[in-house]
Amino acid sequence: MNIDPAKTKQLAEYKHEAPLLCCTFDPSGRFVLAGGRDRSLACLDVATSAQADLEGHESWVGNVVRSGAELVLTADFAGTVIAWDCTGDSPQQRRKIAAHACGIYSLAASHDGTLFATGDRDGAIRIWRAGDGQQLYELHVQDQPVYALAFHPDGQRLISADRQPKKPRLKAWDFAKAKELLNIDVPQLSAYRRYEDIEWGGIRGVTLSADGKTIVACGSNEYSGPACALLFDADTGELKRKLDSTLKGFCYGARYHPQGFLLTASGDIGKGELSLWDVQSDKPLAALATPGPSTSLDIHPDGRRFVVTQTRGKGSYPDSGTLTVFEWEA
Amino acid sequence: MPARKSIAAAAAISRRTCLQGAAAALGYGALAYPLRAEAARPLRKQLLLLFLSGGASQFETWDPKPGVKTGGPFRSISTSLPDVQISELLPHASKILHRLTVVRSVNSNIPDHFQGHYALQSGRIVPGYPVLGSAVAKLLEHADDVLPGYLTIRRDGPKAYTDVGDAGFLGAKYEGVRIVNNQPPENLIRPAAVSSALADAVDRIRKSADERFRQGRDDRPIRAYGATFDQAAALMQRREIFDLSKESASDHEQYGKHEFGQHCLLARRLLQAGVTCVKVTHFDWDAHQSNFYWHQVRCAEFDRTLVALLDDLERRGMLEHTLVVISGEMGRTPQINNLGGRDHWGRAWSVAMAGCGVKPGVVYGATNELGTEVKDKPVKLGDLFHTYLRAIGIDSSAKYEIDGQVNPVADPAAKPIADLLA
Repeated sequence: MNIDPAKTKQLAEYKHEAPLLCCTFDPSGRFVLAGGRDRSLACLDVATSAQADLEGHESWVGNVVRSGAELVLTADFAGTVIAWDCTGDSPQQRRKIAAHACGIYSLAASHDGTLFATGDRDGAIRIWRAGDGQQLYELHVQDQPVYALAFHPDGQRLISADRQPKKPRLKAWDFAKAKELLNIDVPQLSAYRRYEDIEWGGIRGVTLSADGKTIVACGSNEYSGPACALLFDADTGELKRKLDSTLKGFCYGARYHPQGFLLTASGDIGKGELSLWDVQSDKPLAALATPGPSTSLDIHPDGRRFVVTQTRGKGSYPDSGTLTVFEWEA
Repeated sequence: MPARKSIAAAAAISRRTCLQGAAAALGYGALAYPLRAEAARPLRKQLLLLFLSGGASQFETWDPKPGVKTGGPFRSISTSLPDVQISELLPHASKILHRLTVVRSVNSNIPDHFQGHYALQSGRIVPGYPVLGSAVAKLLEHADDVLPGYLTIRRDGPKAYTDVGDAGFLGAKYEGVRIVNNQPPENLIRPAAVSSALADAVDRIRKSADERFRQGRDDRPIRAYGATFDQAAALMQRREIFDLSKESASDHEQYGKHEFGQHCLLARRLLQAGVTCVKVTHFDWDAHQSNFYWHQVRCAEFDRTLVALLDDLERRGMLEHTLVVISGEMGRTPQINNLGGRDHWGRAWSVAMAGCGVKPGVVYGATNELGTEVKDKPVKLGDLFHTYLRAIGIDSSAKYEIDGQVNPVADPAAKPIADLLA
């Protein structure tokens, strides 16, 4: 059943004691796991609305992703990855991996669920076997934190994103051969300030279209510029489209809906925006304001619902978070 | 207010510019002045200020609060002091905390770069007073000193708020000579086209003109210029003090080949050469965005270099007569902003010291559970200034008497922190 992307309805909102920065549905779509400025994960049973905190991390959890048919993976600033088995009545720790010596900044799972990848503060990218948590490959982005990772649907390529000053970069890797296939400079998502000699921008999220032809890079279009998503040809690196939000700030994440439209989550101080894009145009199909900065999103495996994390608080100092579940109407 | 503005106002001239000009004008090899015989005074007190410009977060350095809402993502780690923990971002410093003196209860109440830079270095809010380096250069001055008493080392930029305040009413002679990107002041080598005889002649003419000019006039500007020429001459004679190629590969490695490591290595070399006070500025602590990323990066540089520096000073016997002060212009907010940054905060933050005159292994004062306020033994910026001076043997209750004007060396409303002094 097709949905109308412009018709969204908020189903429920759930509070968390700390600002939330990342979320995912589990493979079955029963649970939402979310992390943020907290050692505890927020876990929501979508059907019953039951909430629980999942313990196990020793630092903030900046990344969460579903993997294969059973797992959700979470990664923290202490360099630890936890694999959560979501096949029971509540997620249980299946495996804990000391993956990096420093903070993990990015996490991605392969489409077939056999692999996952982690990127750290110092530019190391590690590819792991999801089944047993063994490291298989390692890549390196020189001296820059790896802000985002995404596996290509072909199972051969991995896309990385960083915050190289003045020209954040996307790189496409043949990860099994440790070979860089493509480098795409993305100066549009730089927020470099010469006065301070600091790059405040960078690519904050990456996703690929289902056919693998398009890479979406999320961030801010220059310092204090609009939240922005850029669409690149995955084979040539050519910029195909620039999607500017009406909101200043950062676009933190994007997901393709199975019907082909793109959903983005953006945030500025004390406010946020969800935008739905027909990727053949640079105008949004619809935009939805959120009361707090929208920091991440995920689309339910059934394609009818999506979940958004927000940070909430006074002014520019969020001190709590929310998980908001939306539904598209047919 | 100081009783009188700087006597150097009439000679308002950049110290670096003046030195460059003086060096260019001098150009001769033979000096009329003997250089300082440092070896004869091995215990001369010195001061090294490591200034964390922009304001380091107390949470991510000396006063961690793991697990609370304001604490951030990092853990605390045990140290060489029982029951004392610091941030996991300072693993090297944690092993030598018994050699450091940490103040966790600074309340300067200045959440501003410009004011903070001046106030934390001068011990006062009111403008016009000399900063620590200038004050120490003046107060520990020896009659036969020729090298500048105060040198500052920094990279080129950002410039806006890092160079505020300097010698104040002490005058140009005590202003910090800026070393930018570890490059010595320009024109330290006599141009090939200027013969030694010509340089000597020019200098004789300058002195003769000065002598005539000072007859019947206020000669303070002339004295200030003269001192600068003398110091330029000394720097020309001793330009090897800036030459880091003379340092061992091992020292380069230990200090770190990054900017801060190399600046600290030069600082040690300058102190060794007899400069009374050196300030090294470490930049980019002003993390309004991505505070935790930036503190990982900055702390990694700072931590290892600090320990290498202290080890080196100790090994060379310099730490017993050198006070090392680690401070910025403020701390950072307990609250974490929407961009993952911490903003400016002056009400509860930390500084550290090591070496001459301070008790090692002391962690003084405390903040509350969330780190929002000082809860025990509050320390004012004037107290710190008194303490620094006392630690290197200066009577901080003394007064400057310059050309008939009297000003207290340190804020009379503040006092040294007795618990910190050895």
